[in-house]
Amino acid sequence: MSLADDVIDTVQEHVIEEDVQKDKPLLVTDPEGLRDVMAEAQDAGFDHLCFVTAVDWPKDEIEDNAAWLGFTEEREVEDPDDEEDEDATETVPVESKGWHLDDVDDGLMEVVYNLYSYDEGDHLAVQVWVPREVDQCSVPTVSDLWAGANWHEREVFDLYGVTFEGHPDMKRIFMPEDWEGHPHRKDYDLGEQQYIYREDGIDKVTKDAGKGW
Amino acid sequence: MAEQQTPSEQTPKRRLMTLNVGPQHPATHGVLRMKMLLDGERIVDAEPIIGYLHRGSERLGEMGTYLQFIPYTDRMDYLAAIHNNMAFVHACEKLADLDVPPRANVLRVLAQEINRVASHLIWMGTFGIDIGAMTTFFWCFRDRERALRLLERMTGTRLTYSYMRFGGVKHDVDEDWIQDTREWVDQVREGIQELDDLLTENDIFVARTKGTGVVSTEQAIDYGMTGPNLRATGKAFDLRKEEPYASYETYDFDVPTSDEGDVFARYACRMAEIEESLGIVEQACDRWADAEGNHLSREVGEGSSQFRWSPPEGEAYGRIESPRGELGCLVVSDGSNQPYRVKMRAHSFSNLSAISELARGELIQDAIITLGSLDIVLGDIDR
Repeated sequence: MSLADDVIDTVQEHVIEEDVQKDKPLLVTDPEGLRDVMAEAQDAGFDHLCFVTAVDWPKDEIEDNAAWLGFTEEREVEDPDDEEDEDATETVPVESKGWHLDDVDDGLMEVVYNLYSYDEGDHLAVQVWVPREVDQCSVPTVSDLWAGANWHEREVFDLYGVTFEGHPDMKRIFMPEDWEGHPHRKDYDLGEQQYIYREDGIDKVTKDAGKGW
Repeated sequence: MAEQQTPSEQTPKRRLMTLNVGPQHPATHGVLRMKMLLDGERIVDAEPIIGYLHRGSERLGEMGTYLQFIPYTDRMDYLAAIHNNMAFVHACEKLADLDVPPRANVLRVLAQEINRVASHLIWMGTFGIDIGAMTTFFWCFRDRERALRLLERMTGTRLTYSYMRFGGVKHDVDEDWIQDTREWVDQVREGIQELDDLLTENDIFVARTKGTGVVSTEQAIDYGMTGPNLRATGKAFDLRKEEPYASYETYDFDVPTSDEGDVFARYACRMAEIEESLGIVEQACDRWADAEGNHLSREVGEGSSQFRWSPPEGEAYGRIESPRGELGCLVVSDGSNQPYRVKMRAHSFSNLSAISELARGELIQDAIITLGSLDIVLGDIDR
C-alpha cells in the first residue's frame, strides 16, 4: 500500500474525489479540510512540497471542458423515443470536485499542491476548487507546515488573486503593490497598460501613460 | 542609499541602518533587491524583493501553440536553457505518453550535461568574484566558452537553444562534433584541476567559505531547496537517479554529497558534479555512433507536424534535475493546440526563499557569499 493510500484512508472524511493523474494519485478536498489533509500528509512522510499553483477556470471554459473535467457524463438514454436508436446517449451534468455546474456562478479556481516523499519516492497531488470571484477565492495557508509555501502562496495571490488565510505576509511578490487585477487570470485585460511613477519615494501605479513610465 | 532608523531595543546605544543592496548590484547576479536592516555589519533582517524581471512567461505560454512556448522557456533560466526546454517537453511527453527514440535520448543527455558543466562553471566564475578571486572568473569563462561553442554547433545558438522537440531534438550531430566533444572533456578536466589547485586548499577561500551560510537538511527540505544546495547538506537526492528520464538510468555516475551544508560544501558538490557530468558526456559519446533510431520520434515528425502537435486533455507534472535543482513543469491541456496552463516550478525561486533565514545574524559580507553560493538565476525566479 502506497503512502498516498494511507493518507487518503486517514482523511477519508475530507476526500471529495480521488483519482489517478498520470503516474500519481490525486486527492480533491475542500478549503475546510485542506489543512487536515496537508498536516496528515506531512506526518505520513510527504516532506517535500514541490509547488503551489492555481489554474483559472471561468464558467465558459468549464463548459467547454466539462466532459474530461467530470462535470458532465454520457449516459445511455433509458427509454429512447425512437426505437431504432437504442444506443442513444445524453449528456448529463454530474457533481465533480465538490461542485455541480448549475451552482457555479462565475467559474472556479483550481488550487494545486504537489507533494513528494523523499523516503518513499511517492507523489500526491492535492486539489482544492473554490469560486473564482476575488472576494470568495480563498483557501487556508500551509506556510506554517512548509516554510517554502510562503513564497509560492504569495505568487498565486499575486497572479491569480487567491487569498491564503492565515498567511503571515499576504502581499504581492512580482507585481507592484497597487497593481490592478491579477495578470494570469483568463479574463485579465492584457491590452490595458499600467505605468509606474514615483511619489514621495514610493513606486505607484497609474493608467495614465503621460504620468508614468 | 542608507537612512537611519530608530534605535534597536537590545542595544540601546546602537542605531539600526537600512541598506538597499540592488536591484543593480553585481553581487545579486541579476536584478534582485535585498532590503537589509543592519546593526553595524551584522544583519538583523533581510528581505529579498523580486519581480524586476517578471515577464509573465507562463501567461504568454497560454497564448501560443505548444511549440511556440519552447523559446520562452530558454529565457527563464538562461544559464541552463537546455534544461528548461527539457522540463517543458518532458511534461508534455508525459501527458501524451510519447516515446523518444534512443538516439534522441543520447543527444538530449549530451546537450544537458554539457549545459550543466557550462552552468556550474559560470557559477564558479561569478562566485569567485563575490569572494574577490578574479582569476577563477577568467579560467571558468574560458572553459565555458568552449562548451558554448560545442552547443552552438549542436543547436545553432550560443545561449537560447530551443533544441528540444516533442519526441526528440532538433538535429543530429556529426562525427567531428563527437571528436571535438571528447577533446573538450579533457580540456575541462585539466581546467577544473587547475581550479581545484587554486581554490580547494586556498587558505583565504577556505576561511571565507567553511562554516558560512550553514543549511541543515531539515531546513533545506522545509524551504523546498533542491539540487546541489540540498545535496550539500548530506541528502543524496538526484532526479536523474530517483525518477530517471532520457534514459539516465543506463548511465554510470555518482551523486556527490557533502555533509556540512555550508558554502564550501556547496562549492565542493558542484565541483564533483562537473566531474560526474564529464563522465556522462564520455559515455554518451561512446553510444552515439550505435544509437538506434532517429533524432526525432516518427510518431510526431518534423516541421509543421511539430507545430501542430499537442497532447490530449489532462494534467501532468514532469520534473528534471537541472544544475540548480528540481525544475518541473505542470501542463494542463484542454485538447486544443494551445496549452491551457503551463506552470514552471522554478528551482531558484524555492532556493532563494530561504535567504532571509540564512542571512539573519550573519555579517553582511558573509550574506553576500551565502547568496552567491545558492546559485540563483533571476530570470528563472521572476519568469
